[in-house]
Amino acid sequence: MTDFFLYVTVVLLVFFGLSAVLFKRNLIKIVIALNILEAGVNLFFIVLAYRPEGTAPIFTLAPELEKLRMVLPTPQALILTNIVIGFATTALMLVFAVFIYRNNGTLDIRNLKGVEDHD
Amino acid sequence: MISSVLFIILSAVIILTAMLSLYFRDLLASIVSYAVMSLVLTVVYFHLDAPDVAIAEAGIGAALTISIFVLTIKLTRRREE
Amino acid sequence: MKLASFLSLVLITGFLFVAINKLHPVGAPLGNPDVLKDRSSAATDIINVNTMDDYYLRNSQTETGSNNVVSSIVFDYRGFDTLGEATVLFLVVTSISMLLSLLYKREDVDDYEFRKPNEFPGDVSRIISYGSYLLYPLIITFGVYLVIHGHLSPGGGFQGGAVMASGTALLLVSALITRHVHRTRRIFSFFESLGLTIFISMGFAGIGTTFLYNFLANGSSTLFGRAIPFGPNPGFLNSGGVLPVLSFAIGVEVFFGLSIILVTLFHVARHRKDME
Repeated sequence: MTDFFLYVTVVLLVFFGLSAVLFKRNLIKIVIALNILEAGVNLFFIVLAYRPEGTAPIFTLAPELEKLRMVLPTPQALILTNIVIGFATTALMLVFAVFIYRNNGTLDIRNLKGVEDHD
Repeated sequence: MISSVLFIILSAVIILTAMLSLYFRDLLASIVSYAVMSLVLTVVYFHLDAPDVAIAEAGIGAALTISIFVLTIKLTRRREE
Repeated sequence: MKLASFLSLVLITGFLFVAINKLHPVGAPLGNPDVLKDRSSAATDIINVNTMDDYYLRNSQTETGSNNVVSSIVFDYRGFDTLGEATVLFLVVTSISMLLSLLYKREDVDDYEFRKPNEFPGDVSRIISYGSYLLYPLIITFGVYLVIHGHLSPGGGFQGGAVMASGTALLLVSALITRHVHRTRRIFSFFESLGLTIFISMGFAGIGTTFLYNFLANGSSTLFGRAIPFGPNPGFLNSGGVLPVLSFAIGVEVFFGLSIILVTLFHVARHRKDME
């Protein structure tokens, strides 16, 4: 119960990111929303690995073995690489946004050339 | 439980800054809000015993992401219309 | 269309709220919490090991010689995955560089004067420029420390490279690198390719057993091969096998790759008036 808030935080971050991706019109806002969604997923993996009264999975100057409990290392390793790759893909999306702005003169996805409005 | 109080406060700040960064019409303000969210996430990662992830998030989320967003805004436009 | 979006949003969020009730509670992950106790001195010990994480916690220190379990997973057990990530980063940097090079003309590249820190234009504050001169060596030192001590303390190639790239962002903001962008990009792309090449060649060096096999661990003590016993220790720089080398390669690649993105984007942003 104590840290149930972290799961709720994850779900709310995913909810905000997804709703902004679906309903916002500005391309840069959509990229920010994707970043928020990704932050939610990252937080979810780290929360899965958490173990109270544990230490970080590093043996350098750790407590003695009788008291030693460590959090799970694999989700941390996955998320570590995901953060760097997330930055790279964000940069690629922003460069595409720059090109779309230069070709269309706007960042509003309703006004792009070749996009019909289905509402 | 001091730690659960800490987690509640930090979770509230994260949700608030995420909402603000989607609410602002000024894109620069929403990017600054996203950077604050990354910084608070760094504190959460550190208290969840993940210092590796905390360092990566602090370097990338709070420093590099905001700089490329600011450069992109300089190339496009600042207001969300 | 809007209705379908709304329905899918409600559906996905509802599913997530149901799913977090079925998950294990926070703080009770799968696996044996006492997996670090009563370990024999054998190189690989799988008694009381239930999950993959238990295996890593119990055996990574004796198998790879690295104190940091996360680094040993990133660069040893899942080294092939990390090679994929490095390739993705390389591809992204290549495509960004190619796309943005369409946006400026070649001849208006070297038209900036290099400014000494007491000769600023009006829009750059003196505090920012002097402060960046003071801060940049500290940031680079911290990044190099993170890369070198990646197998002993929190850190590694990804974090160290990101921290050093934030130093590049600092220099760009304080308008100290504005000249010779083509030369800068050529040097940076050479070092970025060098990092990936070191990574792949270290992978091929261990191909007698498997690709990316840690053939230096528990071998010669001068070649990062110091064998360390299981348990807490103060940390030894010459342990870890190929892991410090791979960490260095990834650090070089991440630093120069992210720096290329920043430098190119910054240069195009400086030329915004010429574009229109």
